[in-house]
Amino acid sequence: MLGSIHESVMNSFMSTKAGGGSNAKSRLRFGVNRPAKWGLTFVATVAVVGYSEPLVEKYVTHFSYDEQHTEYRLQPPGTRDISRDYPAYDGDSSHFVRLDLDKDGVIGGEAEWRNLYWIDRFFGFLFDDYDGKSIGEAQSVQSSDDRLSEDEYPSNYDRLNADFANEFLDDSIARVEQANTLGTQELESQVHSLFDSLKVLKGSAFSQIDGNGDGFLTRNEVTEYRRAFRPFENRKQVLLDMDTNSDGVIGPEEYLGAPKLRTFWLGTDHLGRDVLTRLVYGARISITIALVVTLISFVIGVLWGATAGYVGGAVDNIMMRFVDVMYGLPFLFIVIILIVVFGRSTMNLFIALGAVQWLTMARIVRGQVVSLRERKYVQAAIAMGASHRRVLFRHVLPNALGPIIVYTTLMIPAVILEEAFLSFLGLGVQPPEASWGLMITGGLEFMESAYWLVVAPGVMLAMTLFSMNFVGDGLRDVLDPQVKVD
Amino acid sequence: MLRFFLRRVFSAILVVLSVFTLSFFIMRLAPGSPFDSDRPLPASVVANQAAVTGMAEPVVGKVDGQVTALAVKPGSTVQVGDVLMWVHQENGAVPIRATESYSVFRFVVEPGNVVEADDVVLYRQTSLWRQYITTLTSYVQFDFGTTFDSQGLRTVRENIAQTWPVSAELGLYALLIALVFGVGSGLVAGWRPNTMTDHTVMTLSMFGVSVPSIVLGPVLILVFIVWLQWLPAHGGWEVGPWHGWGQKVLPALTLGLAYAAYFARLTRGGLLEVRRQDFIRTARAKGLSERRILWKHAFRGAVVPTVGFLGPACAHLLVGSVVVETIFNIPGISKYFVESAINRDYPMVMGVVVLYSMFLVCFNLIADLAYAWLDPRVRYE
Repeated sequence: MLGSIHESVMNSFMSTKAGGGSNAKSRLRFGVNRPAKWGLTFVATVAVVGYSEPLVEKYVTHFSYDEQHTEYRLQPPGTRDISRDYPAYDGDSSHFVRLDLDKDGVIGGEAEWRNLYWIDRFFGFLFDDYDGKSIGEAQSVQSSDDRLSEDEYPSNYDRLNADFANEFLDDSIARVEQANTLGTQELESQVHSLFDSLKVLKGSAFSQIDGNGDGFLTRNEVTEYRRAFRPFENRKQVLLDMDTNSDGVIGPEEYLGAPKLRTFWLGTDHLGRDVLTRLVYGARISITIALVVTLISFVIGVLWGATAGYVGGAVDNIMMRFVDVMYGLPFLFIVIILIVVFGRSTMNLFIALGAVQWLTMARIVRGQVVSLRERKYVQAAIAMGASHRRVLFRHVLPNALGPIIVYTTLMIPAVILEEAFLSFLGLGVQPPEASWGLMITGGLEFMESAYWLVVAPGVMLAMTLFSMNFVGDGLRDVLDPQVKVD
Repeated sequence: MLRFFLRRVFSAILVVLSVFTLSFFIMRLAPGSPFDSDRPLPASVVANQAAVTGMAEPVVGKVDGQVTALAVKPGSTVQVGDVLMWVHQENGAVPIRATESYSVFRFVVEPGNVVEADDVVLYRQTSLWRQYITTLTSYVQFDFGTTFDSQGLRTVRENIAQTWPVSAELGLYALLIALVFGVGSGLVAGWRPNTMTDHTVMTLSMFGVSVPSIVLGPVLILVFIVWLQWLPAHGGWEVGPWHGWGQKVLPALTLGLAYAAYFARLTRGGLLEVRRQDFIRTARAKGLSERRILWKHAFRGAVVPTVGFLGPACAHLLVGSVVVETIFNIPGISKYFVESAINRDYPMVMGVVVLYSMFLVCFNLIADLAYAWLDPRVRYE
């Protein structure tokens, strides 16, 4: 009936590799089956990295799960992040020249400290304030394209960020001697000259910052340039870190270099979260769900199929008709109903997926048990008065184990895929948790400007499925009796 | 033959009936109801909606006067003779009593309203069993009821008629792609196993099986729409083979290639099975050309596994893929189905589920018959 077709299809599908027949390749041992070995290695690596990530994130991805950097939204892979509370220094002393503003051979002196601080502040707002919003001398409004052209780059004091300008003014007034005796005009020119000494406006700074000389500043280039100035936000910390001879100034021999940056290896998403970190956490969820659901459906499927096949008769008929009916329901329908009824949570996802995955397993086990039940050794065991439980668990099931294991292995990628589907539809893992399917959905919206949001989790998902399928194939070559025949 | 056919049809009907019953009771017994709306609607509107979909029936008060107080709450169960509400008449307060035991769904009167003797005062919940019978009866007449979310204005059949052709057309193209690419490459690979061609085809098909549509779809959009700009931006769908093919190519490919990979593997497996048979050796011994052996002798046996898989594949493809429809923003039936399920639009969901299971059993039946036609060794039992 309905079941027979599924079984025959399943069998022929599962024995596609039986091909070649006499060819030695079809009898590969798992150990020498290279794709399977690589697949297993890949999945094992993903699992190990995924599960150990919270312990090793300091060394592996450098970002923690809930870290958001709103200033780095939708940045491409390789973007480097400057915000780090306790920087490690890169040991490169070449930045010293950049920091020694007055060229007196040391970093130090009140004016220099302050200037370094203000330069850092300036680069802090530079990108977000000028990209796309500024009107250059050409009066052309440019769209925010995540890079600064020379037109967009500020060229004079009057067009600075208002907060920055006010604070700078206050600070300058404190620095200018006898400020209250000066007229407005004079004060203004003093402040302007103080600002000019920072040398951050277009004429002096643009070409220095533009590392690759293409006429545009990217966020990365600004970050890289700003890196040297970054520690001077906190003067005390700089002195603590670098001033080894406690003379209040930092000489070239004391300078430790600029802070090391963390890299968003796979870019950031629309909330400024590191894609690689979320990918690794997504692996945890995917693999956990795959293992738990496979276990659930393994237990239900084997028990259901074995009972039906072993008892036979009307019981078999009723049990397998039930499976047929469940097959008649669209898979999504059952899962959606279960999830809508019990609420959207990861736990319910386990239950919902487990509730539909066992059907094929039950059919395969039943088919095996039905054919094994008639074997001589099973009949002999029954004749010797063995209990049903003993016959089933000691004689029948162990001999059906090959196809069961093979199908279990093939079930793992299927479950991973279904989890991704459901998360994709918003029914599985809920944000802000990470899951590959969820990351793909989230990325679709920004696909045109940020392809990595879709490509990274997509490649990861495909690679994992690919690997698991190879592992399943390899196991089938070893375990499936149909392969060993002829 | 006829006996076999009739038995299969009978069992198919049984399966559809069971699917109907199961999904009906799962949905009705699920906690929460479609009337738990975020914005409170007037009781009369809700009651009317429920009545249209057969979940509630009106009850007439049979007493006239001004309602002074309601005696029970909506949702509570009343027995015969229980007081439902009090009505003020010249000679004092008169009770309206329940004449049967039932569960109160909603009152459509409030204290202060004046009711006539033949006015509807409340709606009672229709018992589950009666709902089941009524729904089943109308389903037998192919009347799938009205949808909830349209406030009873659109029937399920109208909705299906509007969205299903879109999904079916997409599924048809996908099926075509799957058959042409899948069976073709499967034959190529299986005819010369363990050659370079075979390994290439098998690796590609492994890719096809492993790369899910939620990955393939966005990647295709990225490459062909965003980067190369060969195709127009996606969204929308005009039914008919000559309209807007630029918008149909990518969805059809996304949906079809995965099935093509399955078909390739199945066909190759089938062909390998057949190649070992004696009759192929005989054909070779007779000195027939390879082409003739493949098409005249091996082909029929080789596609047997494919045909078996074709049944469920057709059913899946014709009902559409919710993922592909979501990615490409196609107004098809399965996208609509998921929305309905989330909104608990029971009649709509039931309609689609029953439609799907009918497709499934029909195509399985056809596949069974085709099986026997392709492989004469299969006997109808």
